[in-house]
Amino acid sequence: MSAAIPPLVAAYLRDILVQAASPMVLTFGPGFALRGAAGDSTRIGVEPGAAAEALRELFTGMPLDEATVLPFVELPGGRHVHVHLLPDGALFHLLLLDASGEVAKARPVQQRAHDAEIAGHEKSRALRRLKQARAELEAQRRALLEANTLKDALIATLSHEFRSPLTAVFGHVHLLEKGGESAEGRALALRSIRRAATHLLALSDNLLAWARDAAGAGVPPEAVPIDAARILAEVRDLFGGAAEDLGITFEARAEVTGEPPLGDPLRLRQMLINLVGNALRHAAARRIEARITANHGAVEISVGDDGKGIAADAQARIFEPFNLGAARGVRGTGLGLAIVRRMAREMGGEASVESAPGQGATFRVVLPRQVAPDPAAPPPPRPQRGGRALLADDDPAQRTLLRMLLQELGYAVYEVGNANDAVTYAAAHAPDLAVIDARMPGLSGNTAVYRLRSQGFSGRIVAVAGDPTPVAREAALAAGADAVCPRPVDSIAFADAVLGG
Amino acid sequence: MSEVARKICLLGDFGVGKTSLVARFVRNTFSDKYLTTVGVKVDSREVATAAGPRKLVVWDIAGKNALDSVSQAYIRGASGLLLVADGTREATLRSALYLQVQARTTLGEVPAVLLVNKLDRVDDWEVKPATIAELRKTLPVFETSARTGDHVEAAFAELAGRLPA
Ligand SMILES: Nc1nc2c(ncn2[C@@H]2O[C@H](COP(=O)(O)OP(=O)(O)OP(=O)(O)O)[C@@H](O)[C@H]2O)c(=O)[nH]1
Ligand SMILES: [Mg+2]
Repeated sequence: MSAAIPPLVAAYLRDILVQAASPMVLTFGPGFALRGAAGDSTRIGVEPGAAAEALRELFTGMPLDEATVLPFVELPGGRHVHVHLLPDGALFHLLLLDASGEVAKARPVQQRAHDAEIAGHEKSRALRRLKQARAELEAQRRALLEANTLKDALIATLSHEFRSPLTAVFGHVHLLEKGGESAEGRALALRSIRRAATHLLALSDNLLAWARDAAGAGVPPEAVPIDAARILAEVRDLFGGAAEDLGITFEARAEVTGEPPLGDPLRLRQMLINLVGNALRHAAARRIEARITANHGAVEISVGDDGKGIAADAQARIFEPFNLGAARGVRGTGLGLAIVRRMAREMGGEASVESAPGQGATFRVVLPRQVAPDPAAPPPPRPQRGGRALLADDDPAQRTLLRMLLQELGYAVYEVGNANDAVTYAAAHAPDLAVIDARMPGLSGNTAVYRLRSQGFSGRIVAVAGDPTPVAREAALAAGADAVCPRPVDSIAFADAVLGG
Repeated sequence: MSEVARKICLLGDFGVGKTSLVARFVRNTFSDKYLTTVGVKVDSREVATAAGPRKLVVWDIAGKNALDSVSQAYIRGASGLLLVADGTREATLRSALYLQVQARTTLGEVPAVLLVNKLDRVDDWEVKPATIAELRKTLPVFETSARTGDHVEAAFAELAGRLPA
């Protein structure tokens, strides 16, 4: 097989191949001047002059004195060729071989593969979104359910807790109205009424505290000098009579070492009232002792009894509001202990119980040293207000409203009517705040937010969105907004979004 | 002799919008239909630069996440690169940067501009703004949309302005 193909066969073969390839050859001289054209221009669909023009462009920047192959070049008519450059002394030839057959075969394969991969990507994105939306819905549902359960428990507790003292009041009032009671009997009835009223008062204080906090309107704890003995005297006034009637020894003691501690007297009093009231009503004790111990500013409140005690498994639950699931009449079915714990935590402390069945119980609230606000010091760092704000909204009415709200918050406002101007202004002036309408014609608000962030804008960004669905919120936050404020704009929600409250 | 011609190449993964960006830049058109590029298509347009008018010869090369020997042959003689990524697919950003590194084998250091495309779908973007802010420290980056035309002209102009005279 090593013998050369006979020249005649080789020439024949060459003719066949050349015919099959139907090549087009363009020969160029220096300066890419067309010197000649040979072969089949119909097959390639471009006449030599136009082809030469396209090829000059194609070879921009490329060396013309090196053999080169550029496969699959799409010509202006849309047809593909393989381009071969063959240097030939001072000349060079460009050989164009039709590639449309190969492209016709390769393209569908490539197209399918790419389409499939892109579709797969889109699908996984859609699935991720769906999952996220589902999880959000589920969380909302659970929160609603919980709120509903709490509401039911609240109503049940209230009707129970308010009813028994009220029944007592009516009973004793009825006795007094009938007359004929001895002086001692009348005094007893009056004491019972006072006891019931005290309980009702504590109950309504608790409810108010709870509701205020649920509404986010809680007042931060004070830090003023505490007169521990006086607080205990008040508690004794409230509960002394009741304890006596029930045959319970009630002792109250204050031990203060060092300076009088700082704290919130109203909260301390309410915690003590809740703890003592609880012990009186539920502990079946013979003796109750309330104590305030202060040691160089740190405060411990304790209320101990020698009653029936609390089982270990119940101890964790009694600090829960309404102690859901616990039997009626058991300690901590209401809000009292929940409020004690919450107040303790507000002041950086903790509430706990130590008990065993039959061994009595001791409730403790441990509070760290509170620090008084220094009157000479600058006011506590309020959320930073004011500064320069950029406001982008295409709707003039909406813009006016937002501008007024921003001015109320102390901002100097620069207004633009579209997203592009917002990006340009922010790049040049770096405002402290940017408020961007999420839906603007042309460049969308989220696009502007994205651009601001990708330019390195580090101020706060508030997106105002007409449809703050979870997905829309997510999109604004992902683009780089710090907060999303729903439309129509509510001044409080807007201030929160602007100030980061 | 007319204006100075310069060859630039678009490099990027498939489907990121290279062909669409060229269509927007050269013919100011856009199509939603995806017709994948086989091989290479060359177009041209004149732009004004500070150094005078330039004819940009734009090579729209079939999308790949790595440069094979054919692609290396395509990019020979290029004076600049448009690296293209798709903001909705984070992986294409890595491809674009990797392609730039690979192109050095053939081209050495040439001016490059990164286009993160499909900005009109910003709600679907996986590429984080912080990532782009970080990349800007090393090369010019444009968030573009071939669909709306947003920043397409600016991105081409930026590269044209950086090409050697
Ligand atoms: N929404 C949107 N779609 C775009 C944009 N640019 C391109 N597309 C779409 O993305 C798909 C791919 O665009 P092409 O321009 O063909 O992508 P390519 O990078 O040339 O892809 P290959 O040639 O396969 O490498 C097409 O369906 C385009 O319509 C854009 O800015 N926004
Ligand atoms: Mg293409």
